[in-house]
Amino acid sequence: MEPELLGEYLPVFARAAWLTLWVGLTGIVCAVVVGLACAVVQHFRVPFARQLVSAYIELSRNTPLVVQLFFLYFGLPKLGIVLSSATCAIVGLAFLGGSYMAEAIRSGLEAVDDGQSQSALALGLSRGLTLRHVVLPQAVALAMPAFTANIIFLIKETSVVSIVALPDLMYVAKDLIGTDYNTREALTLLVAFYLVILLPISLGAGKLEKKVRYAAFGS
Amino acid sequence: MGALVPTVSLKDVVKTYSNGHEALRGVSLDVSRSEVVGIVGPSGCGKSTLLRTVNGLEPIQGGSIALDGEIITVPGTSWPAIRAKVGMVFQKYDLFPHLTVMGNLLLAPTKVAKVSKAEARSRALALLERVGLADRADDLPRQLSGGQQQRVAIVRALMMEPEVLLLDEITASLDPEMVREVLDVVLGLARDGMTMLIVTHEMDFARAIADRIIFMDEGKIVEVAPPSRFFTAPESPRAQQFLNTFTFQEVHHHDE
Repeated sequence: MEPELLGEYLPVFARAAWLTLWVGLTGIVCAVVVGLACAVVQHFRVPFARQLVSAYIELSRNTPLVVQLFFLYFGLPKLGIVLSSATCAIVGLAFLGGSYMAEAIRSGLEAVDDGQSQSALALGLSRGLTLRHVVLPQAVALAMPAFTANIIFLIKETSVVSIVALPDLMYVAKDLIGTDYNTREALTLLVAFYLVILLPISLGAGKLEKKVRYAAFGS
Repeated sequence: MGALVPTVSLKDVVKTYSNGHEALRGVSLDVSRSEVVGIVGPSGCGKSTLLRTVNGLEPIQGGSIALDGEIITVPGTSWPAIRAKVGMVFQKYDLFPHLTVMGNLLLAPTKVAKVSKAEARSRALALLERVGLADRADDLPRQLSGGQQQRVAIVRALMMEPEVLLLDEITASLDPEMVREVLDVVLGLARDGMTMLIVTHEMDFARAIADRIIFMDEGKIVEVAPPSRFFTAPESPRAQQFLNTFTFQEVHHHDE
């Protein structure tokens, strides 16, 4: 191990880490939006849309992200749709993560006591207002553990986006190993940077779970 | 509206669940303004279902329900608008755990009735004062006892200034020493002329508060009588049998 090499590679990895984080977080935000929409469709049993959502969830959960990315990056151009590497990565993460987030939110919605929506409806709240002000805040608190697990899972999944030529951490590490043969230094930095990104998220998520749960239920 | 128009009117109401269970088998009942109707009967007799049909939480399969003479069980009825006029309090209080007492009280008036926050707030404080909870406005439901939560739930229903109040076994989940504080609030409402349909297992309370007792069994109204007569000399054998379950035979110990 040559320490001066670590210093030399550091800026390259830092840039890649930044890209990984950016793509990961943007993908996660999109996944939450997709997940929320799907969960609401399922919760209200919207005819037709519900079957569509079920099909999407099965497709998304039962195909690997690598395959989804291949389709986006190499398949779509055949249909005349060309997406940049970063867009592919974000759309891929949103497609994969959307179904996981949908399931998390749906389980949260189902766990909210039925009496809650009954009493909200009895007060004259519409179904929409009941969902927004009464059921959803409690559902999100209940879904928090699944939610944060999904976030960490999706950030780790970003390690495969290098296959669509996005220079993320994995891509940079493979590149340096391939060109300079400094395998030890590259791998050390690769692990270190994933930990630098994920450890604070993991620890923060645990605290957030407790906080949100307390705010909603006091235990 | 004429004095003769009942506030709530049920005609031959039938409620059949999708599994074929007939919860209500042709129930007719008129409730006039300021009347307090006590509904009693064995569990599963359909009394809670009856209440829940009045605000549409249970859709009905036959008959009709009218509010102030206007039939509400027709397609196209805006249930949120009806429910804003028909308050309901449940057995398990069902306060919203993520909102403070004040948050619970403000939600419907500000989001549904579009009352200004300041106006709703002052109404809430006045009502909380009345039920003895003015100092708990900023507490969360979990910081209150069951009896206090149920009083807040009553206030929450009153915030919408309902024309009718439906009370569904509101003391059934309470510890015995908290029953009184909740029933006192309801007695106060009756004195003020609130129209109420009360499903209860508290026979003494029903006797004290109701203008009329409805006895139900197997989805039908079996007997209608003023409380003085119902609790002393019920006519139907089924009601006699039911009331007997509330009195205990004295057990005699014979020392040999």
